[in-house]
Amino acid sequence: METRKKPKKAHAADAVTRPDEVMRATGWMVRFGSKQVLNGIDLVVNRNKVLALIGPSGCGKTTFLRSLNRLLELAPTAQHEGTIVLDDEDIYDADQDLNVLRRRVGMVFQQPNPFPMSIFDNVAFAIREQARRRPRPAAIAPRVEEVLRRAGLWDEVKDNLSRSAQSLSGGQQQRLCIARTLAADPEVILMDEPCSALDPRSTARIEETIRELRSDVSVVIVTHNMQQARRVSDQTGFFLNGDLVEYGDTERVFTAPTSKETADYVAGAFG
Amino acid sequence: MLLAWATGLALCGTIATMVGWLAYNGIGNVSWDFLTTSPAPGSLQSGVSGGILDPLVGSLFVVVIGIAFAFPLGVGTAIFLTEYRRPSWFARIVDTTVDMIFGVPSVVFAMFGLAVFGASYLTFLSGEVSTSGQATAVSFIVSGLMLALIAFPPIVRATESAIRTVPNHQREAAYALGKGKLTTIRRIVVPGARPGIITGVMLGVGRIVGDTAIAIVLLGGTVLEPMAHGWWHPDQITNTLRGSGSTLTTYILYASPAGEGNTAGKAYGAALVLMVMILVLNGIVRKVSGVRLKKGSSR
Ligand SMILES: Nc1ncnc2c1ncn2[C@@H]1O[C@H](COP(=O)(O)OP(=O)(O)OP(=O)(O)O)[C@@H](O)[C@H]1O
Ligand SMILES: [Mg+2]
Repeated sequence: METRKKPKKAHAADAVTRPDEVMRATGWMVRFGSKQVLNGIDLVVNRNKVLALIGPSGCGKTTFLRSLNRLLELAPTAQHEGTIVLDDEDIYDADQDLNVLRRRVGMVFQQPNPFPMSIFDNVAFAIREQARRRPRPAAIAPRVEEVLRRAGLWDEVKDNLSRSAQSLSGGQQQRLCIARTLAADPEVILMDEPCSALDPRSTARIEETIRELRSDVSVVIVTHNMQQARRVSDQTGFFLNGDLVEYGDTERVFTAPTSKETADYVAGAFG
Repeated sequence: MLLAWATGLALCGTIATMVGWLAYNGIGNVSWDFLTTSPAPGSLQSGVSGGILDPLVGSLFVVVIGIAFAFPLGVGTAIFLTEYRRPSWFARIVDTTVDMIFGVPSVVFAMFGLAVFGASYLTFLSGEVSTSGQATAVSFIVSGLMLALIAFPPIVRATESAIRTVPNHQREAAYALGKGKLTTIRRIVVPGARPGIITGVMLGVGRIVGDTAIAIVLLGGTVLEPMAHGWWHPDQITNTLRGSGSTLTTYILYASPAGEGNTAGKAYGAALVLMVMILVLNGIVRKVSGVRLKKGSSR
């Protein structure tokens, strides 16, 4: 605890990303009121890679994920220490434009949550800047098509983009949410158990999308599904009670974990 | 259970009887002519003659003026109470104030309006009393402004509860796309609350249309005379709105045996028109809020 109370500046030397890294958390600690949830996390998100975060329920995975796009601040009792950088910028710096940051670090939630609008408008909402005059639908149509294609949804919806997004199946809704996130042109996409509400077919479809996304963005995905973590990720981090117990290349974490807790967890012993 | 059922039946019976009785007494007086001709000046001997065009238009005027003010104020207040609530002591004061406005009888607002809008520098909202230089405080504008107050609370409350039904994950999704709080409110929260807002506005319209006290005091209910010839003319409309007039409720009061006109038939006719208007409004409210219920349960 004592060492973590160092001022932010002390971490500045560590808080610089290498070219192959897109985000880096250093000594990241989160408390909700008096309850400490993350105990100083040091973790790197590699560029154009998929990082899986695994760990038992309540260990702080969602809290960590929401730290990366500052959605954490919506919780009034949340307090934090440490640094998180995105391309060498401290994302918690006072000069950081919150809305720009959240476009650079997008998020897909556990429950598919399209807006109660048409498919087109869901994507268009993400594209449109807060300009006085909104661009015409025709002007953004190519971009809407592009992101729907990248999210693997285009062929299923191209015939009727004005359909209500909520009439789509759960898996389609989640892919729409991925498309919507892509429309903001992010560098990193955070996914919090994106398949937990979906059937195996839809899950496979989304995993395929995630693997394809890797060519332009970096992905951090929280999952309770060990097979999924192995299938989609390049690196894996194992959280336990607010600590990052294990971190490394996915194959290594699953086949030769350094800690006993990780070995037990990936073998399905607890969680 | 049986008691509840009986109460419901009794209520339905009362309403049905009332509507039936109004229809029975009023229907003979309601005709196209009745709706489209101005009332003729009444006297104790001849009673009121003519139709209800001017009171109908008068009701429309006060509804438009009242809602024009109550709608933005009410929706804005609801947004403050749900999405901001800061500082919290202020939010609590606003909350209590809305409740109080809800509870104050409209005749109190009428007296208050008379006092406030009587100020000599407010003559542009009504007319000038030549002897004192004070404002008359009797006009469509003044009564519309005070009627906005009684339409305001239901708009606030209906909007508030509709906003609370907009799920939090929708707001989070907007924030996660880099949208600010204002954009999120404008593009996600308010559209999501639209059915509730419409319900609130309808309830507000119903309260304005049905109010009598404010219209009598601040619109000059004793005046059963038609509006000046050519009141609708663009050159005249400001004068018309600054002038006195009548609404359906004041017409009913004065045409009835209780008032000056002593022509019960006309009063029944106008009451029937008013009743039908309110029933139609209620139907719209039910339809719109029903839409919301269905949408909510399908999630
Ligand atoms: N807004 C909040 N206020 C208070 N406590 C919170 C808040 N959010 C999370 N917590 C607490 O922080 C701890 C970690 O929660 P978090 O959601 O990060 O866990 P998780 O690893 O994502 O769990 P799961 O696998 O169940 O999603 C939990 O004990 C939770 O109760
Ligand atoms: Mg979680």
